[in-house]
Amino acid sequence: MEIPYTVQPRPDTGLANPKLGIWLFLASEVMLFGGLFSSYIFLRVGADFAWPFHDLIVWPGLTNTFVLIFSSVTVVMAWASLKMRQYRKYQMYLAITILCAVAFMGLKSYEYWGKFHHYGITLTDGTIMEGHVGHSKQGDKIVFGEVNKITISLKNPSSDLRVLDYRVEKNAKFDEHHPVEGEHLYHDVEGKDPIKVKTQDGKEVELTKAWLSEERAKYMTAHKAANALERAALDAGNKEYQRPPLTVPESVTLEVVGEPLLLKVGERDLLSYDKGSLVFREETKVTGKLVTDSIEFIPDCIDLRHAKNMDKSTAWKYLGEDMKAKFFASREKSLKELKEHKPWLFNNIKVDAADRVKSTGDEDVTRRADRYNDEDDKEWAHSLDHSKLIEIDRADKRFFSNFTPRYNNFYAIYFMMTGLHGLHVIGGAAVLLWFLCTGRKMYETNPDQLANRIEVGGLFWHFVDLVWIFLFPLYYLM
Amino acid sequence: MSDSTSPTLPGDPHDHDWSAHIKTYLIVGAILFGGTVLTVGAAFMDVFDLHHRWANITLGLSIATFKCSLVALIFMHLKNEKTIIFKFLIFTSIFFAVMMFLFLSAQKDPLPADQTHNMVFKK
Repeated sequence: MEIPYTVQPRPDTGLANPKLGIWLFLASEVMLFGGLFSSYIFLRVGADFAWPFHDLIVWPGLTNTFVLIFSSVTVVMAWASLKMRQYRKYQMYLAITILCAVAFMGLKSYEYWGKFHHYGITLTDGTIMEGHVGHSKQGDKIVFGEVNKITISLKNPSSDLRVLDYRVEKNAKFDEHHPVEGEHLYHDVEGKDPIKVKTQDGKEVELTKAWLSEERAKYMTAHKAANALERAALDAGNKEYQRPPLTVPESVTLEVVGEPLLLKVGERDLLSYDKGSLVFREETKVTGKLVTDSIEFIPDCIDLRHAKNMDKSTAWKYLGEDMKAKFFASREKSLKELKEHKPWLFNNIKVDAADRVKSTGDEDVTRRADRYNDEDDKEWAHSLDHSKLIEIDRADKRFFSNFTPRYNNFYAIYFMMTGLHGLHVIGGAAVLLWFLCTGRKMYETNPDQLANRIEVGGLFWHFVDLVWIFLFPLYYLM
Repeated sequence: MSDSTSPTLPGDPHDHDWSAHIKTYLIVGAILFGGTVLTVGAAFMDVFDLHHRWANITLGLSIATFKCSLVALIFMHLKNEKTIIFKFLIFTSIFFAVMMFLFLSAQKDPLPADQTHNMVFKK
């Protein structure tokens, strides 16, 4: 059956159906992105923290803007070439458009990669330190040693042997004062073979998934039997029925045979921990001894806008008096420059930290004066180069994350919008690629229909460009 | 905007002046490139000596709106499009404006801190 009005316009609308359809779809897309743009404005205007300003590196965003504009030109040229019946040119322009999409996504991935490897620690006094996690020793993990006892819940089916995946070995060759590049103090145990454990009744077994499944099956059988008894008693009208305790325990406690284990665990994998035990999210508990829970960190920026007292910031405990002196000297320099060149901004400086954070008018001042990074001050950046690896006590940490949506509202809406936009780029490019690969036959039989398809695909592509035209200045420049 | 009898719709089989259209596309592309450079410049300068961030934001968004209009009018052929599409877009604009208004008006009606606390912790 032939679909009507794919090329010729409908008499009532004056448009071919695909064009009418794509415009209706684009109208719904305007509402989708409009909702997200208004969310962005809402979050920014109501932010109770200093909204990141010029935090994103401009050049990848700018390059991507050029790439998308260029692709908008090429896609319309592809359509025009079809109209002029120049198939080779059409192929060339469409291929360039698709290559632009690949370049766009490549650059976007590079940006995302940077965000995933950039971290921020909010200290308990409000100071924020941004930088990278060091990886010569424990990194941002908790090292827990002398593990001789493991308790696995049989009741909770998600409690499994994941604990064994965290096993590491200490590299004896490592020189703590002269770390060898690329060599870690704690490295993964090769092979991750099962370990031998002793059960509560003194039996020595190999801790495998099969063994655990067997134990869990015993517990489940006993549990179901108790349930059946309870239901039968209640059905018989015995309201005073007391459920007897199970004949099998809800968890098994196992003693490690041989050398105790050494574990390196991410904090987010744990429910809780103290000096003598770790409790995993899936309720597995191990006992041993905490080796270290400090975070290896290489700061490249310090943000004191939220600090209760800049002079007594916890940051100085780690960076030292020398760095503190450099920071304040640099701050004085910035403020002096500001007073000379932008007095209207200088006069807006608020003394109170809370005011400073809430005010949107003086962001330039707070950024320049109270927040330093490698782009603001080369001298400061030189002092904070990668040789400055510090170890931050987890007790001093209020929040720690890489620059992902959980870091703050800015990154949440940034990833939401650029991610959704990226999906549109992929979708649009996939449609155009399909037309490029399969269009020859249609071109020979009905070139106008192919031209209409390209026009419709192109309209979507232009919309993707339109969204980016607003997205780029809002996130990267303003 | 033109009605359904417009003879100048690009792509019309009777319209053979493609070189003029292509020239327009290239010029618009160049203007868009230039507009992008201007947007970046506007973000880092003191706009009209107004000494305020809002001046940068307003200028930046104005350039973006201008670029957006060019893409819609020329690349998306809205300039020569049928009236019915404009009707859809006008409806969309109205819905969009209402949505913006609702979002932003919520800003003026925040939940008091103690009430939020009660909602979260004393449910």
